[in-house]
Amino acid sequence: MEHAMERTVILGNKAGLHARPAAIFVQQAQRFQCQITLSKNGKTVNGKSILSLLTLGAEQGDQIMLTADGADAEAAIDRLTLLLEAEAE
Amino acid sequence: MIGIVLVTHGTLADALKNAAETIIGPQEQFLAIGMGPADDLTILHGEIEAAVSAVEKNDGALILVDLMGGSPAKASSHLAFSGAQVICGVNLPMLLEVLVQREGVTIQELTAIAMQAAKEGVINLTRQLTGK
Repeated sequence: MEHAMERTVILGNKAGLHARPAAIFVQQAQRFQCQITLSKNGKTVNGKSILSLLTLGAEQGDQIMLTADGADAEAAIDRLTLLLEAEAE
Repeated sequence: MIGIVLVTHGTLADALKNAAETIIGPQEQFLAIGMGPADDLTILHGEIEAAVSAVEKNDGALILVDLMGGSPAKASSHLAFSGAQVICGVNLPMLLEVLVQREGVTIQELTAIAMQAAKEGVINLTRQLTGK
């Protein structure tokens, strides 16, 4: 069953969503079939593109809206939420 | 996972690899080949072939070259004729995107991602920040 889901997450990583954490996020996101986006302060980026993710400039403590649209949206949201909320890599 | 081989003049390949891994950490199935001014094309061709064999595992490889028409491109063109996927004009945006998106995609898909990322990575920062 296809459906769109969204969840608001507080970014946990001390280093923010840059460099290696961003790469790990994209590599994980890419494994899911659904479309994935992240939004911060009204700016929305493709969660499967590292270049797009780096432009979000997300720091620890930021409120991020994660969306997933597609067959495995629920699994994606669950997995990626854990990744975003984690304090360390 | 698709393997990546960088082939460039001088030390650009090593520098690109170093820069990418500084940003996103060490990467597997990823090799850089730099060409010196006196390097033999036949030898270079052999080196590229060996690198492709080393990185390709089950999903093939993508060869990223610095410049259309240069010796790295000429050496890679033999492989292109045999079916290898070669892209000229590698930049760091292309390389980063390719490194993180190369699992679970076909070589055609990764090629399209690479081409798009290379262009999208070129941004007029001054205009973006100041509007001028």
